[in-house]
Amino acid sequence: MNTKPPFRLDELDAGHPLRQHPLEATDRGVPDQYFDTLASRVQARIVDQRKHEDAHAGPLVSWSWGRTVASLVGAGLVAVLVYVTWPQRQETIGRETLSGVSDAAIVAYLDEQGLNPDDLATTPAADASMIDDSTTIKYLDLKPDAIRQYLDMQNIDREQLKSDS
Amino acid sequence: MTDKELLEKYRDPSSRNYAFNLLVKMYQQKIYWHIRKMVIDHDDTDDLVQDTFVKVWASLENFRGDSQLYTWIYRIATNECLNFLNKKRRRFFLPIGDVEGELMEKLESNADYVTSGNDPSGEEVQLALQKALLKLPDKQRLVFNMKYFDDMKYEEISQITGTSVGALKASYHLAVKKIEDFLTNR
Repeated sequence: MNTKPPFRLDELDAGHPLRQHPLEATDRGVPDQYFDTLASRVQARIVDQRKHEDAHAGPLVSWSWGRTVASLVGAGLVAVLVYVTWPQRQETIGRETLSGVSDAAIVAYLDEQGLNPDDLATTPAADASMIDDSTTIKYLDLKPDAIRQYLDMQNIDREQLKSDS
Repeated sequence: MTDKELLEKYRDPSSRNYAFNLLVKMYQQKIYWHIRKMVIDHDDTDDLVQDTFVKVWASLENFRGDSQLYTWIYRIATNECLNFLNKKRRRFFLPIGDVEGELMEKLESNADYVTSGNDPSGEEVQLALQKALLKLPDKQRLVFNMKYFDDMKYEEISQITGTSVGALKASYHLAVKKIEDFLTNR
């Protein structure tokens, strides 16, 4: 059981030692003449700070030969590095390359691949001319009976087709 | 010299340095002890006192007189103090207990008053009080110091800390309770 009487801070008189901070009461650790010189030390610091600010009031970076040369050398190095490491572009096979292959070799290659040289020659022209379905049908040269027969085979209702169109 | 007269002299370029010198002389001891009670160490206090007055110099031109000059200077000093203690914790990633321990070491290194007095038991209580104080959070310790040691009014403390009078009363009451419990049960 705690028999100590409770400690009451607010019951202590204003002059009680515990009402004074011990460091302040004893001036402990304060150098002699500290308060006599504080104002002048603060003023000196303000003056130093002003001088420092004035000294750095100009542009942050000034021009100099050394800095210019260093910048140019740096830029040159970067350019060389970019040139050396730039990936080579893969060019398409030029006409000169293909012109070195003989016609006989090309025909033999197409034959080997099962392609008819005549079909190949006409395909680009036919593809270009068949712009839409109607053009394609015109080139197919189909008879109306053939179209009807095809529709019947596909189970497409002709009446429905008419009403849709 | 009143605050008004002091400010008038400060605004006159011919008497500016003189007025500032007067201002430092008027408030230096109060500001010094206000800071010293918080950071304990004299060198840290000296840096913070100088920082405070340099800031006062830089901002005095814009002081509008909404509050008393001394509460305004106290406020600057208080902010310097709290920032210093917060930075100390952040810089070294120190938990609150470690900063408290460091302050305690500084207090004990300053504490030959513990054994040099005529009433050793009284000095022992004094050291126990200081130890209890260092266990309080910084802001609560600040409020306790201003109310208990400096006998400032809650309204003045409120202007300095920017905290309401009600919150200050609650904080002070809680601080007193913690310290009394510590001193009773030590």
